[in-house]
Amino acid sequence: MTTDTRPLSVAEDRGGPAQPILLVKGLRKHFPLGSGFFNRNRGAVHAVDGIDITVPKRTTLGIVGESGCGKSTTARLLARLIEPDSGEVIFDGEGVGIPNGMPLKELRRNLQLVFQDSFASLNPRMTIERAIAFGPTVHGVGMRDAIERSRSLLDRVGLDPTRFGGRYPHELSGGQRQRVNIARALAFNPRLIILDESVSALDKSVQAQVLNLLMDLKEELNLTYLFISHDLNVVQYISDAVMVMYLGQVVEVGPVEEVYRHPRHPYTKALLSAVPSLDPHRRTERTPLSGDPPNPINPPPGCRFRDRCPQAHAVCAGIAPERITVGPGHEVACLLADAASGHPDATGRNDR
Amino acid sequence: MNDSPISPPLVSVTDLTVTFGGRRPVHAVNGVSFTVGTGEVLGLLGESGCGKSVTLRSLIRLHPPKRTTYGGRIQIDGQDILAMSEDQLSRYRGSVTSMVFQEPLLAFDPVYTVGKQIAEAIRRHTGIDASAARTEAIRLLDRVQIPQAAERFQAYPHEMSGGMRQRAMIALALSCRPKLLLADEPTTALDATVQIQILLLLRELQREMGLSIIFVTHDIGVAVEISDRVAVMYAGRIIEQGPIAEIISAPAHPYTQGLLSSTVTQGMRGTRLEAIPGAPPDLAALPPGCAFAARCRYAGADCVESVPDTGADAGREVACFHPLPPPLHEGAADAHAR
Repeated sequence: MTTDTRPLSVAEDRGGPAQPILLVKGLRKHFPLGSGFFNRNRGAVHAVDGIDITVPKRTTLGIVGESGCGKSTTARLLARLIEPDSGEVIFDGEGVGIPNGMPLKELRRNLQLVFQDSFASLNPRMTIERAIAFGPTVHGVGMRDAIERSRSLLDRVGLDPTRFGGRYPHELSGGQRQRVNIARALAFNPRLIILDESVSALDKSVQAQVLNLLMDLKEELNLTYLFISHDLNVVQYISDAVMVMYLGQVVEVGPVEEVYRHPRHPYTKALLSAVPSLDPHRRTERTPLSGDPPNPINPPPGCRFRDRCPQAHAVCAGIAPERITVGPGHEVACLLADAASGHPDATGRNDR
Repeated sequence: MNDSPISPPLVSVTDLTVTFGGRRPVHAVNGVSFTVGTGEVLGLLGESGCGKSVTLRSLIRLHPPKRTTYGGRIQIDGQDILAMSEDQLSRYRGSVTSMVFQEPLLAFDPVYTVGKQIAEAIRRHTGIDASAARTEAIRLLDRVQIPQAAERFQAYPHEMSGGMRQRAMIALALSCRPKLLLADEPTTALDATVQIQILLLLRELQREMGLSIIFVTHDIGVAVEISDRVAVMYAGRIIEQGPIAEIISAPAHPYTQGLLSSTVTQGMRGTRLEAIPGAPPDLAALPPGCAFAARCRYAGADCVESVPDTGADAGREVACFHPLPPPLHEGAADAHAR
């Protein structure tokens, strides 16, 4: 990088609109459980177990799933906050972390994260103006320019820079701090922002403000979002496509309206019917699933959902289902969707 | 909702105020009044800092006595809670009123098994012998749908999953057959598929035992699933209360309406969210008038001067000088944010 003192420019679009901004193949991360009391191998947490992701430019991909399904580990792997065991990450045509590929410093300028805990994400001893300016100075922007840009970003996210610029994180409310975190991510002029439960801790009235802001910024700055959340209503609202994860694997992915209207995986169906209805005359009468999400330590062979699945059959224990296409952009990893799988209730690919 | 006119309500709270002392006293609850009938479920709905949990905890006087000043009156099952001595309180807690919390790991003692803690509570209140208490504890664990209850009796809290711990806490809370259960966001930390299981379990137990429940939540969807009536709180006051179906379909207070329209639900995709501008006021420096006036688009000069009273009208109460008229048809909320 040259020591350009101007604010960071947006990295150019290399492959054109048709090339996905992010292409992930076979991403895998197991956390070993250390050695046991007598040095036995106690296995590993299969946090992310071979997932493929495609994110087209200027779209939002929602990732949903219950705790322990690997959503957040996926986010951290994509930003290389942790090293994957294996798998390829291709950012706009360039391999990440490989020789002659995209260097990590360059990746992190193009890809930014906003986390759930707005307070823990900010340095408590740095004014918010400086916190936002800090990143670009690492990339060679002069301090004065960085501060100037920081102030205009504060203004953009709805915080008056003269009133708020000199404040410390504890002097702001949760919603205001989350705006600061968004401004800080924007300071790099990124192309992809990973929002990991970024609005989950906010009160509903404030959450709506931040969601509106995110929608505006995406339009204005041609951003792509990876939106991780456990709130299915919010995911439906903001996403173009949705990916459902269970125990470190993708069970279903597709255009958001298609998946919400015609879920094919029994887990997606259960997850969707567990959302409270908001209609007092149509309260939920039956639990869609029993039991808790299982532990991702040493998951069983075959389909990982079969213990909780209302439609499980003996074949589900033997075959780990592959992702198959059931509609345009709609893929599901379930033997029920594969007529040739041997599952007695299996249907063809196109009938519902 | 079977509040017979002859018997007084189980819970009757009148003009409750709770202030936490210090150099800058915080007025967490500012004149809250409500009643809960036998077998009724009241949802206390509001955002963080609105005083819903403080109100709830006041009903078993869980706040630190030295720093807390109560005002008003709390009458539960014929007893005056604010006038109770410590001895009376400890007999009252658990047997008349008990509570479930958001984080069951903090509610259980980590060094004793779950079963032992439940059996101990039963013995403490009923005086039965250890083996009978054990049998009763296992029956309770089984009743809250914990599989293999007899084995789970021996489990330590950390050995259970979040959903199991929450079930165990419900078993503990119900172990002395209380009349009133206070629930402080018991499903907030749980996954969606587990949350709905716990809500259905609570509803079932409530019906079976004729329990009254006060259920604190910030989630409208959860309030709809569990409540008969709902009270919406803002800045330490109840600003609107009434039957859940009416509040949802025809909110009368601008804040309730704002809360509903800023909650993302199905079918809102592609529309702009109607967010409420601004943030709730500082509870140490409340404005003299309506606390919501600064964020309210219907506010007039009267709203800034004095606090509106709750006008009761056929079970509906709304504390607003300019309440919204009932909508002509559903979904007719006018659109424009800010």
